[in-house]
Amino acid sequence: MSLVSSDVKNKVKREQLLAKQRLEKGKAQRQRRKELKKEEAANPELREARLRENVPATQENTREFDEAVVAAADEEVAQEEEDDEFAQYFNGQAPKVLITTTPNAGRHTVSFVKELVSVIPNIEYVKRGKKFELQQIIQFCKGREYTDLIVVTEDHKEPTHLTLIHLPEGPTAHFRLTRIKGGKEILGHARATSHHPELILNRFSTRMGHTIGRMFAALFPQVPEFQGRQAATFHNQRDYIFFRRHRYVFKNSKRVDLQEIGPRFTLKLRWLQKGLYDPANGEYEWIYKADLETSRRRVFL
Amino acid sequence: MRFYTGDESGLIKAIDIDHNVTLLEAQSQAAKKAKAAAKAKTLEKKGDTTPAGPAELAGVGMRTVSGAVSRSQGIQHMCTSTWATGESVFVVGRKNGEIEAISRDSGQSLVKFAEPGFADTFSIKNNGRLITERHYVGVGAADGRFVACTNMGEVRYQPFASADGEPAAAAATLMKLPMDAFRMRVHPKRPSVFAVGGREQELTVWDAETVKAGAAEGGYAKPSSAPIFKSKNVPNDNLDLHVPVWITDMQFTSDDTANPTIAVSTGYKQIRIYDAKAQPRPVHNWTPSKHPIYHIIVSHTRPELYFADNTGSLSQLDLRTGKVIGGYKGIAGAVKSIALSEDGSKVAAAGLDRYLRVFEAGGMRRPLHQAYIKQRVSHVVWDWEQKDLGLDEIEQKEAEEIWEDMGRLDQDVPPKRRTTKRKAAN
Repeated sequence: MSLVSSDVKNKVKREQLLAKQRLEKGKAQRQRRKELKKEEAANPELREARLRENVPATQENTREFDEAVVAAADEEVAQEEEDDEFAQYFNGQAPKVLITTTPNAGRHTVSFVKELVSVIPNIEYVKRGKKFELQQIIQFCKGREYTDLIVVTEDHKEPTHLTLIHLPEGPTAHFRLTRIKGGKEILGHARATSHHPELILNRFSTRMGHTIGRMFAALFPQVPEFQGRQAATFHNQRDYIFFRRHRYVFKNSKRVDLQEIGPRFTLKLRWLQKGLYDPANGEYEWIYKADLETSRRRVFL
Repeated sequence: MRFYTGDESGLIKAIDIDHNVTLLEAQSQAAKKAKAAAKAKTLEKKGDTTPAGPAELAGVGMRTVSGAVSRSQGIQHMCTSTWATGESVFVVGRKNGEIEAISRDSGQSLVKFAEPGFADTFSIKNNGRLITERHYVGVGAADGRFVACTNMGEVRYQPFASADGEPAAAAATLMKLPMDAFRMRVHPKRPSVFAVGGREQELTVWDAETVKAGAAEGGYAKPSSAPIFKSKNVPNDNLDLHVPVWITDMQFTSDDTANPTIAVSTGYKQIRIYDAKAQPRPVHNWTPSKHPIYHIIVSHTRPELYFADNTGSLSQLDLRTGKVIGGYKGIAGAVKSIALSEDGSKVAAAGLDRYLRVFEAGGMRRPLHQAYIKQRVSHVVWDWEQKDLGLDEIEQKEAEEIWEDMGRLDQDVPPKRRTTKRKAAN
């Protein structure tokens, strides 16, 4: 740059100069890319080197260092997971889920619950009455050998939270529910069948992420029915867990088409408690607190 | 500084933290290393973001002293003791009812004792809750004997190994206290003196040496002698209703065992101080917390108390005024154990969030160090024998070692010194 725009005092002239410099910059960039293409067509190693070095910084790859991220070959974690609260499920126990809401649930909450009932096989919806407290309901479920209890919390006539209680002695996870979209609201949606879906759990990297991932896994039967060609996905990205359900079909050996069945919702973990649901006196393994948010690059799952 | 942690998988780990490496330094070094490793990985295989080896902060070293991962052998309570031979020993109470003495330096199990009642399944309704299992609520040891108390109130005071060659259980004192005990702690100077409290169970202090209770043949029996101290509940509230009692933790604050002074935390967010010499009702009754307090530790250098609740809030209380000095930020999960440094200037907390964190006690309450333990920690011990040496002290020590290693010169012939005599040049 021969002339810096800050040297020009006349605003009109300055703006013209900047516009010209912008055009020239764009031109130089396109020219460089053309030359690079030619060079790389001749020498493919250059392309590989460029792709390797020139990785832009994203929030995902500049994540703060976290010792809790489970390494691939961590024996201790593997041994602990063999013996944890979900060991029974991973050794063959069939899941039996009960879902209910907070009392006096409205239309939107019940329709969301009915969608969840279509997602999870072997689930039962029981309308919540006012006779029993949640602690009592948990004891009833334990007595009738349910493995999980899901409670959808309603506030201002909309479902706001999801509490997942793994039953025998298991952990309790409380999530914030947002961006709920029923199957019917999705354009071009598919219709669900009652086949057991395949489960995809993405990017649960830390030890606590493993626990949450296993909690979701314990809701679904161990063996999916591939004939149904349905997949349910829990994708974790920066502590937000996105749920999607799709139907897939292989067009040929190279191409797969997806059609979304719905529902679609986002979960964010609020707290994870060791033991059954007891927010007042139970011990928390992890609870969201404002002073944990030390940087934008820090995630816990 | 060195710590020993006992966790829910039954492992005892030793953690060495270099006190010269600050947390910020350690984290930035680890981040650089992780970045370099990730870059090296992308060269081989794209898309796989799981780190290959276990990640550790600089200045933190961790090793397993004893145990294999097993939930049923989870350590519920742990204490330290010194054997007659002088070696340091950890006495642990496990989930399956075993009391085990493990050598600190070699990790070997020295003595093991299995409490028979833990295998029973039962369901007893008490205080509106169901009690379905037995677990230890406290373990203490010294002079070759241990005290263990279960939540059903069964207290066992027994030597580790009997002198005559008879099984040690024959020389045991067995006491049956009311059930639903929540916590038992021994006096740090005289471990046969212990305090027990629980749900609707007032604080009682007993001396296991002098109490008249059941012998091994008779099984657990109610003690026929009176406790050293039994506390009394606070007066009824403004509606003339009984104030519920739920003692969650206690700490002896003085060396006197005849008239003990004890600090107690309750599940109803209170901290109470009892003085046996003054009155059976609490001398102080404060409500410093917003959540049930589950663990406390009294500072041995200052008149202060640290308390932790179920949500991972660790706070510092001034015992003279009853006011909260401040909280320690950054702990995400319930704290199960607190330990202090020898000079009382640092406090360490570990718990269900699987981290051991060291803060400066008082002042800015800054986080100084942290270590990831991989397991849910149930007890942490600060090893006071490992001193933190400052940089000049390390230099001095090294210099002393060099001098000591050098050979002595008095045996050798001293080099001839040139005398001032010189022959005058002729």
